[in-house]
Amino acid sequence: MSATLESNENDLLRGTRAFRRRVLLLPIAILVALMLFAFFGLAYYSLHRVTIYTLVPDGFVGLSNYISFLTSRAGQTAFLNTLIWIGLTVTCITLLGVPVGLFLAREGIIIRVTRAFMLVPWVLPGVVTAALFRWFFHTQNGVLNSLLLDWGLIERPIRWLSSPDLALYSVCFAIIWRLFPMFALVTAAAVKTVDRSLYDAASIDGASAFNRFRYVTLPGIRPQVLTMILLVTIWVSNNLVFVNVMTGGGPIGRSQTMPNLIYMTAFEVGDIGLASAQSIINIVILVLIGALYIRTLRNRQVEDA
Amino acid sequence: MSAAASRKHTIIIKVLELCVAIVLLGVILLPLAWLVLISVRPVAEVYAYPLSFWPQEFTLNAYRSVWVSREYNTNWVTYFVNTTIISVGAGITVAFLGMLIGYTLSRMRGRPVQQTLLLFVIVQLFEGPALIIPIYLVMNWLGLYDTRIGYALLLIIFFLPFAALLSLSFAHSVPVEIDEAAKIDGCSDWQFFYKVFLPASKVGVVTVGLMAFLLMWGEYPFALTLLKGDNRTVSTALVDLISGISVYWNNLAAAATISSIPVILVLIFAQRHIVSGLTMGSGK
Repeated sequence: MSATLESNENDLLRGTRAFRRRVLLLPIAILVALMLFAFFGLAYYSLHRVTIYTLVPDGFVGLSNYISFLTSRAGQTAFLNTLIWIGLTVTCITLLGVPVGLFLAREGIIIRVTRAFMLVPWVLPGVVTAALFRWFFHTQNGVLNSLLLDWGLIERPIRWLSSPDLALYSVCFAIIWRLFPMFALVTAAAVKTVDRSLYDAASIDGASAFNRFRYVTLPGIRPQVLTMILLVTIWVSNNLVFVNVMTGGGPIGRSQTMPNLIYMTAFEVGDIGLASAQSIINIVILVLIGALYIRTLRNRQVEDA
Repeated sequence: MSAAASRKHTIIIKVLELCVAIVLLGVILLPLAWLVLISVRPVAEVYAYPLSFWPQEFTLNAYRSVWVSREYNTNWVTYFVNTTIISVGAGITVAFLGMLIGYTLSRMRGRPVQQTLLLFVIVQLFEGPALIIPIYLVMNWLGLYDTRIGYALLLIIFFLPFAALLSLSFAHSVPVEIDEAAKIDGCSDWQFFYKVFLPASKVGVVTVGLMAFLLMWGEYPFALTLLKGDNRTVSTALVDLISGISVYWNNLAAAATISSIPVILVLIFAQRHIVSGLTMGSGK
């Protein structure tokens, strides 16, 4: 009797194992194969001369693709711009997102109506947002210049997207507009999960509004906010559409970032070898961000345990 | 006295809230209102100076010239249908497969789970322009370059880790006890997933599907490198209207407005799902 029960259980277990293998093996195999091919393929191509026309490596060139990237003005600008682009947008999105999130965590009809519209920028296709802002910043027909001139704040139209010193920042503005409301909404949801009784306790202890924020709200929302910051960092680092559509990296490469540089080198110039070297360098940037991400996840698991 | 003071206090707070809300809504909605208002103007008015917020003359010419008359030698209805079929098809597939993987992982313990999750995070981290060259090569070799089915398969593969991670948080909320009960009753794993688990986590599947749909609808880097001509999606077709020598902003606005309607509809009818999807994603 007990023997049959045991064998039944063994059968069940074996069935479950087979099921798990069937479900997980294929997707994992595809993803691992794809990622391995991507990394080794890029590394191999980056050491060779390859054009988009043949796609066949034509001669080993050593590190010359890397050297020509790192020593060229265009490469250095793109690399530095990428760091500015990530740093500036993530900082602004966080600094706008957290206070707006605190505001959205309040109660009442006004707040509920506001909250209902917060995801609109995030759901729009990226191209639509980029096109919208390309035109918002347009020198002659743009809304921004038109308004500023009307109000007498400027004398002459400002070349938001076509002056070398401004273009990158105008593009940053567009992606901040797209992402900060979403960040705020997630922050608001996190604020609502903070235990209300902690606030009462803090009030009884005579904590000021600032101290209540500093010692109750902030620790309560920290995990979600940190994860959001890292997610936004990944999205921003992998974003192609804004630079591609708004400036194309111009003028004279001054608003170029790594994603658009890779795209242009590979598919407009046709130099797959150089573009592979650029991809490898971009991957190094992403690995650094990823290490940060995984470390944060680990810390959270330790805290949860 | 103190009651009156506190009422005054409440009113002041409400007025302040209203001010902040108006600023926020203005920042978010004015650019969009502007987009729609430009799409219903004649060309002359688009380039008029000074610009007026409200159109002086209402016309649907821009919609006609982009969507019906094929003035640009383009085929917007086709792009729209392409985008719809690809993102709905790939979205449903990813939601189903993601939940299957999420369910399986939620019932497992130990290192294999951690390693799988790590793989999913790594794919999500690198998925983007850094991988367009290898993807372009693979798609060429497989003969899938510039095919809609190839692009849809690629979306499914790259969105699967996202869907599985999100599904996992939903799957954890279905208690393991019902698994055991069903299995003692002689239910196989597959039957259990299909007949018990999937109906029980309907909300999760719908949320994952909608999130995937939203992200796929506007996908840009892979669409730009892999699809040409009539195989394109609305994202990359829109760029054509910008990169020409003279940009007719009213036509561009008309194309952009219609391209945004599906995602806005999803947002209107499924706001709750999207918000829970986002917060669950960040809670992981």
